[in-house]
Amino acid sequence: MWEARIKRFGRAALIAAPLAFLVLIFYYPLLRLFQEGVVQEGHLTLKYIGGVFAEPYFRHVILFTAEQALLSTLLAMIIGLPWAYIFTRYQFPLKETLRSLTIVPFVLPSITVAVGFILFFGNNGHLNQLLMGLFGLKGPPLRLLYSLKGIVLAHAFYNAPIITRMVHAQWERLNPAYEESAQALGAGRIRRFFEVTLPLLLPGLMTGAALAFIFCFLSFPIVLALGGARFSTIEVEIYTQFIVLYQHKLGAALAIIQIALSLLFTYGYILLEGRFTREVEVTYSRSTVPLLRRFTLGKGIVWLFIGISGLLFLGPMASVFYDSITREWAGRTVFTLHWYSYIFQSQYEALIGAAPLRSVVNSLQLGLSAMGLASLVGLPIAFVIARYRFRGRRLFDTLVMASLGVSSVALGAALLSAFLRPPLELGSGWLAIVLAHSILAYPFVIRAVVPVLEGLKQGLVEAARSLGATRLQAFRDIELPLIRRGLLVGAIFAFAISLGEMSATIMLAQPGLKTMPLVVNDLRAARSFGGASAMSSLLILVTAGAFVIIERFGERLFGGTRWSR
Amino acid sequence: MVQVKLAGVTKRFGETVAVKEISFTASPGEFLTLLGPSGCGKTTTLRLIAGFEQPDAGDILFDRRSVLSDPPERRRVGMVFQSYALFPHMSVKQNVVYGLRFRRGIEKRARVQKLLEMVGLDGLEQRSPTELSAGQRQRVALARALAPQPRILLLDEPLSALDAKLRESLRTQVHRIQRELTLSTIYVTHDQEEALAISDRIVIMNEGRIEQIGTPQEAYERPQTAFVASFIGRTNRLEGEVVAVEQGTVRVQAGDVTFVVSACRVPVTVGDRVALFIKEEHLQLDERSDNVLPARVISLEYHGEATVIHLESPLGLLRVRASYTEISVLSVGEQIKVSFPADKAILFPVI
Repeated sequence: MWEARIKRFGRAALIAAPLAFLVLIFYYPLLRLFQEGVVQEGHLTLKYIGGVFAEPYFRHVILFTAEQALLSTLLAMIIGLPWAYIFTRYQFPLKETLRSLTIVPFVLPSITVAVGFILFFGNNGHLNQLLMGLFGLKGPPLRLLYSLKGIVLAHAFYNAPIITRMVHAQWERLNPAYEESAQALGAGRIRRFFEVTLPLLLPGLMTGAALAFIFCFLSFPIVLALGGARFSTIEVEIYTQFIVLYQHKLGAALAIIQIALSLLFTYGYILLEGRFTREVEVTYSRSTVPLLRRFTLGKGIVWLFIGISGLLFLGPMASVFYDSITREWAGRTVFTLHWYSYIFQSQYEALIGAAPLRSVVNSLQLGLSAMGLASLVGLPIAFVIARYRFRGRRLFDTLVMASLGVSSVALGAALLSAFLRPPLELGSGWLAIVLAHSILAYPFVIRAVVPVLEGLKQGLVEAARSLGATRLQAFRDIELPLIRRGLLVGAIFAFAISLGEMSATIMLAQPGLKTMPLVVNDLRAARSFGGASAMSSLLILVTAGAFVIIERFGERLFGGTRWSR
Repeated sequence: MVQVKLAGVTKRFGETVAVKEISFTASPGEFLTLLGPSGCGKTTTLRLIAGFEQPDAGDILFDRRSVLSDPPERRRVGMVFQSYALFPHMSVKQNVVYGLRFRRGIEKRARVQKLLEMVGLDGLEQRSPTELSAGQRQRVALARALAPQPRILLLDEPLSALDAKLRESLRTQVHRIQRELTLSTIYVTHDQEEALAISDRIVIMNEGRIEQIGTPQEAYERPQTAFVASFIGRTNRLEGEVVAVEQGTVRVQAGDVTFVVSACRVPVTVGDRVALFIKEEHLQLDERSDNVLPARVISLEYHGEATVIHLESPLGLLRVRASYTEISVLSVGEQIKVSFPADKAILFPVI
């Protein structure tokens, strides 16, 4: 019987170990953040939380956060849904490439998106220049920056691919027999869409929308860069209170309110989700229509939509690269590598507060560390999720996934309260940043590994054991080699997330510690856009490399709705 | 070779009892088959022997030594899975050699060569399992299970995923290899034809219990429970009431007909409700035997080596298996007589 006991012990250890580690690096800091917000001199107090609600400015910030998130989600749906339709219905050149680009929001550092938006949509941006040149205007026709419009537009373009991805994944597998039987029964095209197709796509649509809403609600770099002085969200306000004004207690109170709201949204979504989910027959062969041949008015509208949204989507990214290699010189635009040498020259150290080259090394080191730690935390959790059924499994799932409901800035604030304040002062913040990035990244490791583990054929481990392998040897010889790709995808994801992460980093980096996104942000704040573009381009290139690896190995892994909440 | 003994083994999964107090012994070198409908507990029994499940009660002994405290890797059982469970990231050879990593004193190359020859796959060593046909995969799984010289071979419906022709030829091969190695083998199947063809003895299971243990002949000709009588072979079932119990025979009244039955496993008394089981091939299309029944032909089904005639009788629908020559004169709708000998009907009380 001791075999059974060992088995039970091994299983308990596998469940308990990641939880214990999460308690140390996530729940304890969260507790410290709560203490900061509701405890004063050993007594519970609602002074700070009450203070937030009493102050009209904060009430406005909370309402504005929800307003911009809602508008952004709606616009993301308006842009994302037609793309889902186009991907499902039509066949055209570069379709696969475009389709795989929908993963971009997960890996593209959002500070680079913000820089791209300023360069493309700004008052002197390329779009305004283009329109002024085309129509002979005196002033810029579009004034989008530092307004609600700018924030919503940037969020929408950043999140539309998520909607596209989720809806398209479902649409593509939806058995056309549903629409065909509606057609056979006499329903027209519009009725068919609204009465048959749309209700069946609702789970994917709602998941995508919920995800986009949460992303926009908790978004930091875009609001920081595009909101200017007038527009602030809870996330930006937590940062301002902690880092700019040193009002830790007020910042903590805001973070508590934000966490409560985002948990409320998540809970509401889970409640709603049950209503939308239904068994749907799937297919693997939906026929598509070539978009290039036999021109029709409908196809013309599709082309127009692809053209405009493509321009608006790729414009900001192209602007970043263009501005990084050009410079105004004697009234002319010349191509130059000036900005790349500029960001690595030591005379600009004062601007950034550290050696720029050092920031590249820091980012890579942080990325690799976070990749390792996130894999170490994520792998056993993925194993438990895929393999074990036990009492308290729901609680386990909740505990390991709860970090998704905590924003990056709030997480940074929590780790700051726990590890960079007395009694524990862990130096420059390097370790705290690794922890923050790992916490943000390990759910992606889980998401990449669980489906692979679940897809393994029944009996492989048992076959190995009947041949004489112990459970550990069976894991080493059979499971590990077979999930290697999933693990690789998860690890690369973790690396990419760490590399582009700015929100938690900005909270934790002590003076002198800079990463690439922080340098981009500093250069942007100093309005040195050439340098910001050059550093952004480098950042995008590295994350694009990661993206290529992910798409090669992790095809379709992130299309499903399984782990999306 | 090892003797495997299960003594009062019970296994529950939550509320459901998968196997309940089962006991049997497989002798060294014996080919023992666990046969039953799906969900009868036969696969659970196999997994208990392999060590993938722990019993809630009872004991499992290999050569009189309890193996309950041994994890699967120490039981030295070879197992062939229904899904084959070949390691997809390893070649055929790597699959077969895997188990030899954990056993000392076996020369690897010679052993792999010998086994692949035995299953007729020599030359395919470097192939990936994904490049093999279902039948080839099954044989790799067998070779892999045999490589580390297991004390006992366990086969969990190894042929169920194959088509009928292949199933028969592989079944013969499995049987031949088992004979050559004189290896104790426990084979799980729901296919009675398979069980009858290759087993030394069959353990017939139903709802987690053992219904009967016996040779294929015993199981087929002398079923000991109503379940076995109806499960083995293709059987007609008639119901009636015992009207007389005489020396060696029982008289059963069913509707207007009285039957004489000589085979009775369970004591019955006058007034009992009983079920009669008569195999399809034991019904004759004439009135020359002991018990005669009127019937009308509903349809004829041509099966090649035999023809199945569906009949409607006052006691319900009947199926008769006959050779083609016997039925060449029959036509649908015709009124005929069928009969069966007293010793071919098997009688059990209806509970």
